[in-house]
Amino acid sequence: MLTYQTLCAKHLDRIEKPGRYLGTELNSVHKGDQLDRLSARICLAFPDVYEVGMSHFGLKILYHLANKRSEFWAERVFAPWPDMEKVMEEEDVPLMTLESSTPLSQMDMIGFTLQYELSFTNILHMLRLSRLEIRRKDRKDTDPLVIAGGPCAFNPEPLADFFDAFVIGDGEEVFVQILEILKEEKTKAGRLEAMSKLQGVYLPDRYSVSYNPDGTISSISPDTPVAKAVVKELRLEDYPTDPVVPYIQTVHDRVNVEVFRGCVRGCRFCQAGMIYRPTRERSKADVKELVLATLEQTGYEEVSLTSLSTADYTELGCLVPELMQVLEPERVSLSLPSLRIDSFSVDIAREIEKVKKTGLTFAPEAGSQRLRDLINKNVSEEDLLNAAEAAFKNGWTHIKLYFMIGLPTETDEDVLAIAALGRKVRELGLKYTKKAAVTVSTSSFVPKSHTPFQWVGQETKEELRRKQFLLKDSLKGPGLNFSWNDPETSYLEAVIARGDRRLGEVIARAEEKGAVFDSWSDFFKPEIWQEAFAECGLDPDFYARRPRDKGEILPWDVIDSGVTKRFLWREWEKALRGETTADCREVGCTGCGVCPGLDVSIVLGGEPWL
Amino acid sequence: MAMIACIKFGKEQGAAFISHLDLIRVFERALRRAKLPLSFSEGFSPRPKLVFAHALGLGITSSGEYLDVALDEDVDPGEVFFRLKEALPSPFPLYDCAALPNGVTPAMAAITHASYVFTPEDESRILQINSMDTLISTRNRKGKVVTEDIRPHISLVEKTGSGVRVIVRAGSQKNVRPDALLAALGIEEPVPVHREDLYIETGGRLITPLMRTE
Repeated sequence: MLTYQTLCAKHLDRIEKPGRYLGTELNSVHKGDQLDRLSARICLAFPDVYEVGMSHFGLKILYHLANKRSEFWAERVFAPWPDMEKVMEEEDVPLMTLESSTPLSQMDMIGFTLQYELSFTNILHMLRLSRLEIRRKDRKDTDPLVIAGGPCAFNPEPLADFFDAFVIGDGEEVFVQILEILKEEKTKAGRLEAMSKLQGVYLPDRYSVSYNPDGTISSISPDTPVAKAVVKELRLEDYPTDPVVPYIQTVHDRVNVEVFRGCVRGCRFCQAGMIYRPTRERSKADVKELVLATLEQTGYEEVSLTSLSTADYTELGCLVPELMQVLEPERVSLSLPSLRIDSFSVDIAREIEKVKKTGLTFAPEAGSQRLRDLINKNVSEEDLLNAAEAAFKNGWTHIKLYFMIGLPTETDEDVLAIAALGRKVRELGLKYTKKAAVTVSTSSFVPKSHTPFQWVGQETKEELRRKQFLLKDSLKGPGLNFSWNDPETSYLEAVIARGDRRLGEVIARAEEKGAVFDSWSDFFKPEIWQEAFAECGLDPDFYARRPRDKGEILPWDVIDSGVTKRFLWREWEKALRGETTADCREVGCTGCGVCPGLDVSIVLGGEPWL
Repeated sequence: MAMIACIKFGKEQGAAFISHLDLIRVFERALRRAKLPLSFSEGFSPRPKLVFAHALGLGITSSGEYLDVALDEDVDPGEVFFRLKEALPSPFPLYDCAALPNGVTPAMAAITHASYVFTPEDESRILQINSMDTLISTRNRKGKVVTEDIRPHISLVEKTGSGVRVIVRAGSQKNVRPDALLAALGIEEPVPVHREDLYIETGGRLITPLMRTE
């Protein structure tokens, strides 16, 4: 039998990074000697290269939840890099799990994570490499169940033709329930029937969609949406303190402790801020325990406290010094991926850089106060300048500012305000250091489902490019850097993010024509997609650019995130009026609907709030 | 810094595909898990002070790799051995550990010879070195073709139970890489190679880095 290791040995000169395929990393789980005791074998699939997939924390949670149960074995697979794919094709080897080099087609279930739209062709490609039929209707009853979860599952429709089921929302509980079903039920139909009764499971073949002559949806039947799965609190035992430690360097190779899930700041462009509500914090004691236990079992030299906005963690001010007291003597560094724009965040940053110096990034998202109010980023120019001044005062010389271009109603004036802000920050820095430098980093706004901007049309690529050049021209000079991304990929992202079932055919054709690793600029070929759209008779602008009416049936109406459509529309109207909505932890309930709708509540410091 | 722990370890099957840079990270993390009193470098990004004796090419297994680890406190070498053995991933067997005095010549600078075992289909193609007076290696160095007679740097070629043992010069002064040796012999197909051990020539005999005293 050919395994990844024998393939690597035989073709060493052709495989750039064999470390991707070894499957024997520290803490990887091998149950090959107890196969007869297993009730089900599953494969957790991440549709991108190993270094990206192994940086994803959700995968590690599910790996842990399945493997700590003796009757299940969860293995991993990532998209093989083209060098390995070529070798596998020549050797006539199908896609296999990393741990045991078992073909994916022999699993009971394959679970893909949907982290970004531009990974969708990789999913189809991985099914093809597994020698499974891509479309659900073509797969046999004896083939594995193919399911998906993750943020993009909140609009599952573009992938509706391919998956047996989607898991919507927090995975911790529903994933374990699905494992139990795999154990109890042995037929595909029986398993799906049992899964249909779980909160958070969407079976696309149980829904049918019809369309109006203008291409909009006329009805979805049945019209009962699937409510997301939600955990009431983040439990200690669901957290993997023994995650797999890669041999090769990955994007995020460190201890990640999720200090809270869900963010109620209410930035109107932010899908994560809407779909992961409500905020559920771990207690400070739990965070410390998890950090220390994971360090013992991994030997990592860096700890990251992750969340959508870690500076909002209620007890951060006490947690950080307490952690540093333990980490500093061990030369373990602490990092916070997301800083708020205030001097408190700078104080925290100063505290954590005792071990390792890092850069500082702030995200005002928009240049003008008008637009910052529109997106509900409750930050003033004064806040930013104060934070920047605190940073320069404390010895930082380089500050990175992150913005979006193409936000709703944006004018050239708003774009130029980005440059003005960048300059102001640098001039402020010059008072403290001659080396003061500012990097302005921009991305193109992509309207996402389940947000107040879900009805908005994206700007044209030409307009986005023009604005990028406008900004580039006004950001010339010493100490100012500018970086941007390609509007072409943002456009495709916008098409798929709010696509319907008919896009499935486009994605399938694009993959057939060779689209893979679309999120990698070296691989992305827009002309393939143009051809695929043309062949399917679909206009991508219909999805990306067209503003939707209030009453339009949206493809993702099949999914109930808990945040009501009424709330989202109200937020959109407030946005246009330039009104902001405060954080519900500060002003009380703002009526998004999650807590009463899903019978959950905000959890602060490990304790339910209100 | 109180002492240098010299560690002898191996690379089995899968570990042979871990590059030298990745290997450093594997050991840094294993040493942290082993909770040894590591000595760290100064600066913005402190790292444990590790010195590997001699980088091993990708795909080559080994039973004779050495690593010098600087420790801040004296620890019994047996203790270092058992704690690290527990912490290392399975494809990295641990063989031995010695406590060396501070200031001992780093293994990296001291290594002079390496012993490899080749297991080709046809052993005679390697054994023939014994009857050769010269063995010309041709390399491309910065666009220039460089030729060199490597025969004088091959100390021993002999048949063993598992293949053909070849002892060559290795280290910072003069180094014969196994792939260069195969190429010089005109062997193009992949040949499994195993590094048996590394040596330091001192007073006319070969010792291992564990036996360093100065």
